[in-house]
Amino acid sequence: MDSFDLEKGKMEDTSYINVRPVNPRLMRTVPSNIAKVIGNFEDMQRQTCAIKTS
Amino acid sequence: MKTLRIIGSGMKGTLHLTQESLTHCQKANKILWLGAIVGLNTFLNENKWNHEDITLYYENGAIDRDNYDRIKNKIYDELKNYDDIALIVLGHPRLGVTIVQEFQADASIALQILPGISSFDTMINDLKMDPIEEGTCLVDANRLILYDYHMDPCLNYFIYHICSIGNARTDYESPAEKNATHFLQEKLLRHYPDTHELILLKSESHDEKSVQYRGKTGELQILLQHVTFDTSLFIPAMLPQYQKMNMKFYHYLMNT
Repeated sequence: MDSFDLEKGKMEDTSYINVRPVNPRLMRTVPSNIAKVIGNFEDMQRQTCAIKTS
Repeated sequence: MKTLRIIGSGMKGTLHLTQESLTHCQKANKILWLGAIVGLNTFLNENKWNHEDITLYYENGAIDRDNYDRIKNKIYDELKNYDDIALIVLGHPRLGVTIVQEFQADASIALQILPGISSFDTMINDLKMDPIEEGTCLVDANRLILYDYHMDPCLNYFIYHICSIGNARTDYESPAEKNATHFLQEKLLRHYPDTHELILLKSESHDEKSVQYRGKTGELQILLQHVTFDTSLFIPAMLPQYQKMNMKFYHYLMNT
């Protein structure tokens, strides 16, 4: 396995960091399962209505 | 089949890159990277590896979903030209990276995930705590509020993405401006007294020591004026109540 000198990079000019996201948020704010949660609830409501009207 | 290697850089620039990750970088035809990973540009240039900084695809004030689609489309474009692409992201790719879950669902790509030192790792080190001593929960602020999860004050909580409460835009230049902090405060006050201690925490990075702002649940909105995209909220655990102890188990435990 090759070995790498990672210390060298420490001297890099970091002035650009002030104008860029240092740690970008990479997770979506709206959860992907939201449609499923609402869909399940609506299915349940429809079933309840069907039972009541039958 | 095309290969995509998503690599966690850790939290301290190139100093946190693992030997395993670098071996994977070496195998890739091109390395893409995202975020301020200090030293990486110099390091990749010195090793003459084909690389591109794609942080510009992540725009301030854009809808987060649009940013992720831009990044994904860029990766798919590169996969048309190359058989093997590496993407380096900050921290650990399994901690709060939506595109990892989405690429995982694409059966046409051979996806490999290389772990990195996460913000959770560095925060528990900054706080000098063992997360399993009292038990610890990691949760996204928006999901916590939206699904009204039950909170157990006897556990420690790390609440992520407190920079974007009720805000799907990536407002990284001024995150406090549209941050709907009152939703989180209302939620916490249903589980904690207003005097419970909170710590707004930014991990140690390449050139900065850990920063901790302390406040109380009742002062959350003031505390979150210091919020940035690299802070999380830590809620320390309360001492469990005697009345809730499982005495049958207690006696069993003490007699072993």
